[in-house]
Amino acid sequence: MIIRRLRPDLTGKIGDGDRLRDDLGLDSLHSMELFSEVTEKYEVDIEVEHLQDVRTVGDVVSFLETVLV
Amino acid sequence: MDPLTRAAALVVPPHAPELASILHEVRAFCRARVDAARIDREARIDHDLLAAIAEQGWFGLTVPEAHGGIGLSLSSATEVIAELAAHDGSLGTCVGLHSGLAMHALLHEASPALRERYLPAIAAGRRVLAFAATEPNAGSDIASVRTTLTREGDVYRLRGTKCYVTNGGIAGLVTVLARSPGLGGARAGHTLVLVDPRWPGVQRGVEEKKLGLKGSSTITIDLDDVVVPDDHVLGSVSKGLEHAHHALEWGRTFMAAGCLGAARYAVDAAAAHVATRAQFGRPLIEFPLVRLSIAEMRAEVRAIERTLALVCAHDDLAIPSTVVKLLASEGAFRVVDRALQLFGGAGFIEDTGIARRLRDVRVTRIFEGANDVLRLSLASAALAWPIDTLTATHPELGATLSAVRRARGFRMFQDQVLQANLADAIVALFAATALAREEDDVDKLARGIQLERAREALQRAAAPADPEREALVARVAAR
Ligand SMILES: Cc1cc2nc3c(=O)[nH]c(=O)nc-3n(C[C@H](O)[C@H](O)[C@H](O)COP(=O)(O)OP(=O)(O)OC[C@H]3O[C@@H](n4cnc5c(N)ncnc54)[C@H](O)[C@@H]3O)c2cc1C
Repeated sequence: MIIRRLRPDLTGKIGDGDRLRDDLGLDSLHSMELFSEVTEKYEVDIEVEHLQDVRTVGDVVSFLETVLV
Repeated sequence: MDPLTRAAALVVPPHAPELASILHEVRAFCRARVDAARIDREARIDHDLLAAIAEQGWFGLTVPEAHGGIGLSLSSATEVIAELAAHDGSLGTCVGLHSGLAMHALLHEASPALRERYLPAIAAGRRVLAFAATEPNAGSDIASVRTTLTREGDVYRLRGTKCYVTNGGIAGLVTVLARSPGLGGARAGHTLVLVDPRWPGVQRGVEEKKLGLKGSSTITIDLDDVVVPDDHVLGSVSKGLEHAHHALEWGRTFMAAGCLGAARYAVDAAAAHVATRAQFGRPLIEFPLVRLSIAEMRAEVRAIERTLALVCAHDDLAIPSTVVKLLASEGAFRVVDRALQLFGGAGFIEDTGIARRLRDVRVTRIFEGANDVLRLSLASAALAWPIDTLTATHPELGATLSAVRRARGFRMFQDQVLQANLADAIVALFAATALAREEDDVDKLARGIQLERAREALQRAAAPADPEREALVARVAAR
């Protein structure tokens, strides 16, 4: 998964409730790269402002669900 | 509001009335007491000089008056640091880091009791401050620090090693960034703690031998099972990385001021030199190429001055502090290098003083965020940049930026070269905004140069991908 590649030193399972920064240790550069790869993979376009509310792994998933419908 | 509109709307506040007299005192003091060549040679700022600076109250520039400091605003305090740095880079770094990066969390995150307890001694220079984030294996990737804060019984314990700690050897208090897994309910959280180096388990290493800023103390600090009282946690447990980022934003603004001081010194020294040094029967300043150099150096210094003033008027420093750190560190290095060139062979000789300046200013492109890494984090600002405002004044630039955005959108975060070019454009556009009033010829030249840089950077960003060239680069790098 993209998150493991961005943060290879991450151990343990990644769950929906995990926060990108507090639980997975992704900083803002990682997050931008993560979203960039996610948008590429799912072929969606997003605006920076929409990302303000995306904090957890679950948020990324539900964000994708809203833009993909 | 978008950054450019906000920047254009901001009024740079006037300096505190007392600033002029403080600057006057700093100048007189430095002329009489600061021997920069000796500081460099002995690789230390001697104790008497530090004591005299403490006596002047300059360790209290950013400490509120209620706690015994001078309580200057960010814009006034950075002017004082620029003045100190114009006399000596090591001194500017020592007082600048104390007043900026290392002071921030104490001022904004510490409990009232902790502030009450330490700020008077800090303002009086009895406790110099340091900030320790970097570790042997965690530099640019600061979230990967291994120094760990744990909860054992009813105390916190700190274990790990910090390196390159500025002011470390003379510090009376050190703000330490540690990972704190599980604390505050965060699996990968971080926490900032305030450590007194005299506590059991804190061990200071020897002074590093450096290229420049030799008088500024830089050491490793080992933290071996250090007991940290609860009230020495700065801000919220698990929110340390955020607090550290805010401290770095403040710190970078002070560092830019140090760069400004060095650049101002270099341009004055070079101008004086070319006015008197004659070759081919004429003073150097009469040659057009020399005149161009001096004019562009002055313009570069002015761009840093105006940008710093505008940055200091912002409440949210995240983007502005990154802009001014990049502009000032790259600009100061160029200015000092050009000054050295104008001194000719003499510039290469230590006695002239310019060689030391070049050594001193070099690290500003590395510390408090290596410039390439900062460019990556600044690039996201390009997505939110106000195309309309830009198009209204510079249709061509607006069209190029909007074309890049349409073509690359969010996918630009997978292309570092593109991000770096966009960041360079943002820096130049921000500086051009700061110079927009064109109050004199220097402003005018400076603004023209910044707009030219923005144009070039945007053109590089907009250039179509060249897979053949990229493959060639990859092959050469892999050799
Ligand atoms: C004199 C001095 C004083 C210092 N004072 C302090 C202090 O008081 N407190 C403190 O905590 N730290 C301090 N530092 C540490 C300083 O902040 C770090 O050196 C700096 O952040 C860079 O980290 P690094 O040295 O580990 O370099 P690295 O992270 O190893 O980076 C080296 C180079 O690799 C490249 N690079 C890295 N990451 C990327 C990326 N993602 N993409 C593209 N390129 C990349 C860049 O070109 C960078 O310049 C000081 C350093 C020095 C030299």
